Amino acid sequence: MDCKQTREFLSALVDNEEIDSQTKQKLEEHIWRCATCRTEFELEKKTKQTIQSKVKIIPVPNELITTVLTQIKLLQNGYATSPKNSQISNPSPKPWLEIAFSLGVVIITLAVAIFFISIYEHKMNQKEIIAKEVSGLINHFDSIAQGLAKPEILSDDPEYVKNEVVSKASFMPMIMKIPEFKIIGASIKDPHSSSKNSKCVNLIYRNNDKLIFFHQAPLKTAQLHEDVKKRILKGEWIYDTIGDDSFVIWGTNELVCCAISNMRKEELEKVLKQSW
Amino acid sequence: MKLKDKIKTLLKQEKRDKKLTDEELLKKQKEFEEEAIPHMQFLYNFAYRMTGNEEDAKDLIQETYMKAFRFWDQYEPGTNIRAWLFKIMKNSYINKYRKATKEPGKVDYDEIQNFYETVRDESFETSDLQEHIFENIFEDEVIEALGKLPDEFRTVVILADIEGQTYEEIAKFLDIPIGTVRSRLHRGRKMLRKELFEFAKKKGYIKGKPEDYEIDDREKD
Repeated sequence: MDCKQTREFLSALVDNEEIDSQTKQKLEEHIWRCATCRTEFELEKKTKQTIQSKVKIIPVPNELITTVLTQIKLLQNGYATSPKNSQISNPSPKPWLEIAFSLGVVIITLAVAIFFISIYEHKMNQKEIIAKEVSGLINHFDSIAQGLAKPEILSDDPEYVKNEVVSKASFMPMIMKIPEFKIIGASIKDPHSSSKNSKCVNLIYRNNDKLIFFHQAPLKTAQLHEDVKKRILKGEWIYDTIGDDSFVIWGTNELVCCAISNMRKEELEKVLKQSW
Repeated sequence: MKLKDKIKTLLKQEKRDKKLTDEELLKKQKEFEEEAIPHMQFLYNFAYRMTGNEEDAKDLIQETYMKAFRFWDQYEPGTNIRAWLFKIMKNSYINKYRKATKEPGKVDYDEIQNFYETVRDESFETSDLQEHIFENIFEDEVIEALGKLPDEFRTVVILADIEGQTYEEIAKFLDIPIGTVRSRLHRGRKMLRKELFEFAKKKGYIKGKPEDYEIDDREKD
């Protein structure tokens, strides 16, 4: 056995992990003969001991357990009945959010439908493809911003919104933290309403008059133009502007994400870079 | 164990406060609390060492448990619950903190390649004078050094050396072969040692470059 092979098993030897007896014998032979590997072995052992002795296990803070248990209970209540806590945490919905949420749903469904019909009929250049991709969402965002639509979940308490989202979403949503922005509302399209592909979660963030609408859907079921999909899978963040709104599309291994905002493109980019 | 008692009293409180609603829901909740909550210590410590601060760790734990409860029916009873919870948390962590996305399904050949390269590149390596590295080293220096490791190496070092998990467990948590656990751990510890070496140098326990600490030829076999 040479040094290279020995190094591959060095950690296992340090940790007293199971190695088949033949390999182990060869390893020990080599280490006994080779001073370099012997030192390396001793140093790795020392490193491990140092980590163990210096970095201690921290007890779980009491209030964390309490919080988690409370949140579970909230989720549980969300299943059992419509949440009682909505009265507590939803005292005064903003006037601009008051009016018909259903209108938004109609707009978004129409926009998405139009988009899907048109996308297969015409070949479009990338910019147009992307614009089409987000147009439905932008409409929805605009109607919320102008008070024409109301998200299903609205609250002054971000924790309440998070709870609601997690309890109602049909996939594991990502709850992004954006510095200085607060989650004020969310909507989840009902998966039963149309096709199976309507799984998504929208979170609405607000900082004074700045709004960010954060849309996410599972990559597997998201109907996305192949070109766009390819680009975001490569790790690209596609930024652009439509009308007064800026937006960005990107992806993770599991999710397609899209953020729309009434801020300028550069500002949105800056804010997201801080939080991602 | 302290934590167990904590949970027990909290669960008792829970039960007292709870109005009896649907029996099945209650059963689910109870089941979840009994099975999942005891792993919080393990998860919290991992979260704490990965994020480096209490606030983010708490956030991550809350999100993990909410998701786990929500998708509790996806958990198969009798299978490794710790691995299941860990994977949920790992995904949340990646979603929150990863700067760039990797192509899905891409095998980490780079890493295997890198491993052999560091094994070959022994310039920094091997001297019993390196023992000085470990003298007078402080807790926060080790923590800082740990924080400098790339995520995939930090992960295995935390799991093996701080949380005391076996290679088999780590392999299950991360869905990687045991051989990869071995090599990542070896390399992770080595990188950490390099960081500690830098600290020792700054503080003046060690002078010169790593190369100066090569072992004497006559000691070689």
